[in-house]
Amino acid sequence: MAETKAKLYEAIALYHPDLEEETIKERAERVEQVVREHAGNLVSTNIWKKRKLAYPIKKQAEGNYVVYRFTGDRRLLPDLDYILRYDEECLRYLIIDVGRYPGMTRGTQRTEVSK
Amino acid sequence: MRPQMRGRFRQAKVCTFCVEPQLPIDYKVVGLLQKFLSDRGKMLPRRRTGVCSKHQRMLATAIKQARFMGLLPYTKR
Repeated sequence: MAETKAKLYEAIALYHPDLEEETIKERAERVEQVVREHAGNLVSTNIWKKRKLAYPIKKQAEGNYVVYRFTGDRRLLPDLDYILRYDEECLRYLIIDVGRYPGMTRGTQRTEVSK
Repeated sequence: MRPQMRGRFRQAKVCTFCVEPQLPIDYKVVGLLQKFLSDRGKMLPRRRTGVCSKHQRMLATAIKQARFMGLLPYTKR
């Protein structure tokens, strides 16, 4: 009944180090598709360059990180969870409600003002 | 009063995050989080860093998120 409010979420996925940039982009598109299907809006996709892991995860010492930021209501989360969980090349992922972590938005307004 | 040498740690005067509200407490900002870890990768106590309890709690979650994602170690060596 009640409409759930659209919130800002952040998902970070750690992909297998051997993935090509192209394949990573395909995965990013898949995520975007899921967000769109639920009338959400993908705010940003940030593909980091390959990074050494602090400790091995699924026997890998390096990995490709992708940070997605999107808005939408929470009903899209199970679907997103599904595609990341059953993606063999996704070593680990984390989905976060940005609003619950005030530290993550600290200073964003301030930097805009000073510009 | 100036911060004094007391016991083994120099007491930091105020919380870094209260003084600089623009500093993010984000699991992605690993360089900053690292300043609150010992060289073995353990979280430093508040009495060592001077962080206030509110920000220490936020820091703890951020560090744990970063550890989960393999951005920070649980332990070193």
